[in-house]
Amino acid sequence: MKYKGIVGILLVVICALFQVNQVSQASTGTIIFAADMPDIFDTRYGKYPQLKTLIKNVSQTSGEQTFFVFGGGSLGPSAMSAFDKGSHIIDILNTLEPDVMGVTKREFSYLTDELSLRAYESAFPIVTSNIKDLRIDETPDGLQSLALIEKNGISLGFISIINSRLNEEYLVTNIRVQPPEESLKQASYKLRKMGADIVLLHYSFPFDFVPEMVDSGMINLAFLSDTRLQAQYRKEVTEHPKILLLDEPGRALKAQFAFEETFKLIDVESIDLNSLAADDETAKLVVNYQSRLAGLLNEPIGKWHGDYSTRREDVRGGENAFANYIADAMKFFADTDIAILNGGSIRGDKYYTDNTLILRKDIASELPFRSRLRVLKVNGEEIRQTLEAGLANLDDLKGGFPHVSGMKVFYDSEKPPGERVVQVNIKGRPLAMDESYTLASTDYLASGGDNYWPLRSAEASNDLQTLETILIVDLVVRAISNQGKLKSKIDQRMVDIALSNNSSESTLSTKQN
Amino acid sequence: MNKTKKRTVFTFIYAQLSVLILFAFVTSFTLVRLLDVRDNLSMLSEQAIPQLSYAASFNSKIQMLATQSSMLAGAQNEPARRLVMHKINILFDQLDDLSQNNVSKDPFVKKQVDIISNEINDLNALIKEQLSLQNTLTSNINKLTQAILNSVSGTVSNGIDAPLKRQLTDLLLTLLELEKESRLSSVRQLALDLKQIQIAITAQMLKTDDEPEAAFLPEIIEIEAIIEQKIELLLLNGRLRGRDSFVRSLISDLASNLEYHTELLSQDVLNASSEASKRIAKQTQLAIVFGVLATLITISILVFLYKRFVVRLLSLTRQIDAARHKGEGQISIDGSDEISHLATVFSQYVRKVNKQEKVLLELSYKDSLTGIPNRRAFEIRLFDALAQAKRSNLPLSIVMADVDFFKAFNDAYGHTEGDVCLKRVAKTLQQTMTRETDFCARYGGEEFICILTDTDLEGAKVIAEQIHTAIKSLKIPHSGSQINEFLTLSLGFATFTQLNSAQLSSKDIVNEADRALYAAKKNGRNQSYFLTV
Repeated sequence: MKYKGIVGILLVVICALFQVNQVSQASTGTIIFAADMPDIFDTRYGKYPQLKTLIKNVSQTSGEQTFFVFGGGSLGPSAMSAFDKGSHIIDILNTLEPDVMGVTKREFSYLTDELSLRAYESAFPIVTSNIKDLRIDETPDGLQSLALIEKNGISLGFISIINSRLNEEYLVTNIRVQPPEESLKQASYKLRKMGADIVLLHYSFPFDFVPEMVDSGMINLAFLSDTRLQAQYRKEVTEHPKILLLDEPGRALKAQFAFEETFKLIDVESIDLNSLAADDETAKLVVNYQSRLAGLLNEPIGKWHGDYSTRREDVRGGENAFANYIADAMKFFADTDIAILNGGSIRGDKYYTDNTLILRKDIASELPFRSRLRVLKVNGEEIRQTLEAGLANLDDLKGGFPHVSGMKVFYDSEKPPGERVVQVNIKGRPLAMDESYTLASTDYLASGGDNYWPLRSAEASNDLQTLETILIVDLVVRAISNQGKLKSKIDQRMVDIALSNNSSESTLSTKQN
Repeated sequence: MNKTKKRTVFTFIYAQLSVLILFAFVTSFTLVRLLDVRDNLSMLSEQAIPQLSYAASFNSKIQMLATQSSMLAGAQNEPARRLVMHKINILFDQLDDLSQNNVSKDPFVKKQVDIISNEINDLNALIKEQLSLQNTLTSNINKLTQAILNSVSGTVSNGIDAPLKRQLTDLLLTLLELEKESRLSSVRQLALDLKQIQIAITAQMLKTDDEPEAAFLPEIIEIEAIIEQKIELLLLNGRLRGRDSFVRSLISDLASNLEYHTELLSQDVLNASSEASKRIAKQTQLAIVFGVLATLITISILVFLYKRFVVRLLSLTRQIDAARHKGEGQISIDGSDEISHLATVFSQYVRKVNKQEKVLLELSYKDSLTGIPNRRAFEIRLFDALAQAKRSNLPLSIVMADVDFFKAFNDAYGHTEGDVCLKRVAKTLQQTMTRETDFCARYGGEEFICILTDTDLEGAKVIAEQIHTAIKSLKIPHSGSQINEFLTLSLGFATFTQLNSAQLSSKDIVNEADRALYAAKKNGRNQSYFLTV
């Protein structure tokens, strides 16, 4: 009897400790969506403490079953992630306890194995439904191809698909991006078989087959996280009631649903995280991480001499003063004939005003990929092909736009890709196809990143082997420190002759000195 | 004269000064270049090379730090952690020492090292916590495992029924799976499984009336703690991995930064060395050029001095010797300096000496009273005339003239008048010798002797007649003469016609002339007597 009493107490205690609830037939729920928060230093993106508050509030006040889905796009690139490969983001997310996390291209910023390690560190499943690791012919180690989350009688199936441009944009060579539509169908089928009541799709590229999938019921709800969604895709996405778009940094989505035999979306609210107070525990963790780099990165190195924009459309759509500075610094440092840098290397997406301080952190944020300098020997034909490759995806702002130093390039954006380069001058002379030139670039481009395939086969120069350990970011910091300022301008080294007749339609928004 | 006098001095002074200045210039130039080289080499040996050495040491220490920090992150137990941390602390001390030697002028390097130090200390604290937690977890798991095993094996209690045994076995297996699990999400799932098993166990135990030993029951409560510890351990591992990555990235950046600085330093050193080598090469060339130039200039100056002084002095010496030996010749040296002046002076001197010599010679061959050649001159002249006559086989006549009763003249008129008389006679005789080859000399006292070259007996007779006529025309009163009231001469002519065959000396010839004079005197004076030999 005494024994049974003790066991009874234990049962109560255990139930209390594990919070075993009576299974209820919950028919409503809330899904919180957040994504694209890579930089805890950036006040636009780094809203984790506020996100935690949102989750707590919704969990506590609504009394409904709450699912927190994180849409990825956060493990990189950022100044901090450049050092710890995104570990701090997982650590912070662990305090937020998402139910599941999807994967975008940015999760591969430090390649597959680092992502696997992050998955091991995470307290939540990380899902990528159409990626196969070629080495094991399975989903990369630590990741899952799908997830089924059961909360209070509701089973939520989760799928996350990714764009095939991953291979060329992030140079991830040991994985294969499988056809997203087919992968989506297979995952949906599996989840339904596993008993998923709701199938939720996360994606980061506006695949045109998604609306049809939603309409057919294969998926119940789609969540597109793309804070850089271009206008051409916006319409078809925003007009569909079951495709939720998170397209602004510093915001989260709250979707209320009901499930009774079928899924029903009740309400969707876009929440400005700035309007919420910061959760103390998460804020403390974030501040701790910030302070570790503050000593290193808060050092002023010079002043902005003029106004500069590193906005995405400015660095990916045409000549940019800041990009010119970087290219010039590379050329000067390596003492080469020319230099090329892709616009996608510049990630700050900021605007800097004249005569304000430049902190080391600013440059680290603008160039978070830790690219290193590479010096190549190329001939004129290879240069032309490289420029064509860079200009090929001009319309999509894909990040391949070539910023140059030591040459003047005339191109026609209205011509088809591969035929856009009109003329190239180096040192005042037209490009000679058979002549050899020395080129300073990054290891990323030299490996064929952003489809710069002509550089992959270019001969490396052996003259500067030691200097190839230099990070581009350090090179730029040194250049600014030496001069005490960053002074650059748009000097018509990349000239779009299609625009020259219609300057009022120019997409360039950078102010010039 | 003063200008001339000074010109050589100044030329010599300027030439010497030029050589000195050139020498001083070349020496200074070489000295300056050598000092420059010395400075460059000093800079290399005292600054650049030590700095490179320090930088290399610094880089080496940083690489070792990277290795040690990885070993720290992978430390499996406290002794390993302590050992690695000890080595890391030594490395930081060494880095601190090296920093003070100004390895890098970039203050950012010091900042990076400080941050790395702080991060490694935090990493160390995390590892310590992790190891402690790992030990606690392992210990708790082992305790619980043992308790379950004891229950299942029946050592603790008897009579546990099969379902309970199965559940305890499931608990044990799930626990072991939990212990091995490295993924946090999986651990959370296993925690739920454990929860389910625990509920089943307690439910099973409540069903039976058995009262097994509940020795393992307290440990069941520990499962919650074990799960929490496991979760915390995995979270800690995640943070550790992140911090390890962070530290390695920091070290990598520092190494890259240092490598860049070392590269800059190396380039500076190489450039300085290359520059120094080029300058040394250039300066060596310049030194050679200047040396050659200085040598050429010095040689030129020496040649100039040689030509200007030595050659001219030698020439002067030769000319002086020549003038001295030959007794004639112009001494002349081109130019308008002391040497040319000396030459001029010498020339004048030589001329003067020659002139004086000539005068003296002339004086030595002249009779001081009458001014006509003296006996000495006659003897020399006779020697030559005799030789000439022998060679040419022409007749030679000698006439010896004596003033008749000259002693009586002196007695009568005095020696002074006697001298005047002699002068007049000498003059008259000379005037009679119209041919240049004829020669008249005072032989001594009142005797005169003449040489008549190429004169035979008939010619001698003509001359005799002329002499007598000339003397007579003088009409010099001579009261002491016993033969005439005026002064008269006695002449003795000796004519030689076969001189080339006759072995006659000058003395012989004079003796014959004297014999002829004697005959003229013996025959009554105031006449000529002719002898032919």
